[in-house]
Amino acid sequence: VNRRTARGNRIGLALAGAVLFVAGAYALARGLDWNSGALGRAASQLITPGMRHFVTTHAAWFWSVTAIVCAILALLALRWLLVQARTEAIGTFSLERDKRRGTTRLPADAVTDAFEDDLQASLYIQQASAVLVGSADNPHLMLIATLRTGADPTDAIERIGQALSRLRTVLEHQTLKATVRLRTTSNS
Amino acid sequence: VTTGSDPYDTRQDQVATPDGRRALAHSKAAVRAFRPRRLLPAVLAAVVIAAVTALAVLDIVAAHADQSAEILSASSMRHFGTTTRWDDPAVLAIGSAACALGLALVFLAAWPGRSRILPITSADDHTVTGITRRGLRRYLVDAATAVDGIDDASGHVSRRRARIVADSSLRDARGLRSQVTDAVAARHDGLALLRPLQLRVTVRKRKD
Repeated sequence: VNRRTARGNRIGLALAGAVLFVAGAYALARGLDWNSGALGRAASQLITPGMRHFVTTHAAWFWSVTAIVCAILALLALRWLLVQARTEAIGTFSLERDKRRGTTRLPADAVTDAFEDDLQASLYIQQASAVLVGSADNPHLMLIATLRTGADPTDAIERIGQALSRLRTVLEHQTLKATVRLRTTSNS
Repeated sequence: VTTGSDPYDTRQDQVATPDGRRALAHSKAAVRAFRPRRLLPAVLAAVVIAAVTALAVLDIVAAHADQSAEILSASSMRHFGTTTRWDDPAVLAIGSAACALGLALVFLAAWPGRSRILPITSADDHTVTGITRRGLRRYLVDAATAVDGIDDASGHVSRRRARIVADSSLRDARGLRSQVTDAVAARHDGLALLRPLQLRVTVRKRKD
């Protein structure tokens, strides 16, 4: 899940929460007869004969509009669900970033595989999983490094720093941004 | 008339220097990078909204095609709506539940959340590094077990505190606590967390 999805999740949760809260607060306020002048009487039915009359006389468009609104909400919710799987991993990496001199593109997998191999060859890192996200011109390296049992994280960080600096030199991209997560194996 | 920052405010000066500003921006980026993504509540909310709205659409379409078709049992809902008053206990209960759930969702959206990863100070401006709390706990516990006289140790790492409990079977465990504290603190300080933890070390004497 990338950062854009994370922001989307927070916005989506806030909206859904606000709607639920307002609806629930209205039901509570009306049921407890807090302000019957503005909200309506607590003693009346949820669906009044007036509402039923309105719906039956306008049935043609009322149900169509309701169905369309529900369909739009369903599609939005489905999209919300699908973006959770989005990694935003990029397929290629631009080697020459000065457009006037043409661009050389490299498969992103080749870059990350070499980087992972470099790290896994070290004494401190058991497993490295790297992915390039963002855009081909402005990539961001995401790395999850699993430490070997008993490995010192400070040594591992130094080793990752060296590998990153090699990678930046090879890619001629000294400002390549990186996010590193260090973890230990799950056993013990 | 002067504009801009107060020249005597050293705190602002610190932030106003290019280095200070960069360090601040970098630490903020590090904290943001490891914030929880709210994956599970988002998936649950999306599934519920999609299911309810899709069923409603199906129901309306089915009823339009065939008057007797019902998926959401619209007639029982209509019956509930026309016979239940707003002050009915069921309505109040549903209203309270919706209120509470809505507040919980807004809270989840607004609260930064507890990250499982603690950011580490990085020498490189373009790299943000963090370690899982579990990984850090194991690293600190290992330091405690490495001290002579300590048989076993366990610990807990939260966002602000690390608590290490070491067991010793030595008869005279005096001075052991400061040794363990030094060992744990050396590792903790060496790692240079962005927000250093408060360390608390306890040495328990094991019964024979």
